[in-house]
Amino acid sequence: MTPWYILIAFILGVIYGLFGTLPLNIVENVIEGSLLLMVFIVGFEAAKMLKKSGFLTILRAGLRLTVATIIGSAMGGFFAALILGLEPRLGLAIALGMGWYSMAGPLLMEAVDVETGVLGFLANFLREILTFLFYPYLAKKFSAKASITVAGATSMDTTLPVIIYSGGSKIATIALVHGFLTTLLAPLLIELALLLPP
Amino acid sequence: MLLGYFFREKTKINLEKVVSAIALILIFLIGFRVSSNGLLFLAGYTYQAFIVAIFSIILSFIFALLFEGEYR
Repeated sequence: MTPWYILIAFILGVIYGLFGTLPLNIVENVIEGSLLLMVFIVGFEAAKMLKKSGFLTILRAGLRLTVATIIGSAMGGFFAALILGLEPRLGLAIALGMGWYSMAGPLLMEAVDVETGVLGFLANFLREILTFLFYPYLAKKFSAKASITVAGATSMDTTLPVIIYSGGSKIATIALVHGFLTTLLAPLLIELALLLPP
Repeated sequence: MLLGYFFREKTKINLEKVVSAIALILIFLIGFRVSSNGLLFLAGYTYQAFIVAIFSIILSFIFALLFEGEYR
């Protein structure tokens, strides 16, 4: 499908948010409700996939992508820290939030300091935004499955729509498994990274 | 998801189209939430955060391609 539709919808949403008004609590409820509806419908596809490929195949694919996300994020955080002159363990901890900004920001603020917390929040928030921008192209040019890693922990909620829209509902099950596993591991990995010597 | 699994045989609707339509509405609403929360304007750390985010994304993607055997 055309990735332009996704970008246009997202940019229109951002512009409307800047100038228009909608009650935020209602928007949050609609987002939550629509995500639930979407996951329900994805269940249809999951049923077909499970029949065809089996649970273990999907789990294995999800696991492979999760390992890639963790290794890639950790290395990305490490190299970014070297470039930016940050402590490598902090670079690791920030990147290992893997897109879950509402957890990474407060956790780092509590464990380290406000500056690292804000950076953790913003880096992971940007990961979500960049997924909206890049996923459609990466999925089209390279691989819809491998591109799930770009989304990190958000592949099971906020970026699931863009994954389904550009990658098709067939890979939604793998995205859900990947998102679930990364969400489960992200807080633990951040804590582990912070245990490293400065 | 489980409900979807059990009801899979009882529908003739084009689910791919329904999911795409919901996805598009959701993407619009998420864009709205992003800007109306003022999250786009956390100045000061944007450059550093961008470097961390882009490095993480690129390396995760490269490893995924390698693991999936889709790298040419």
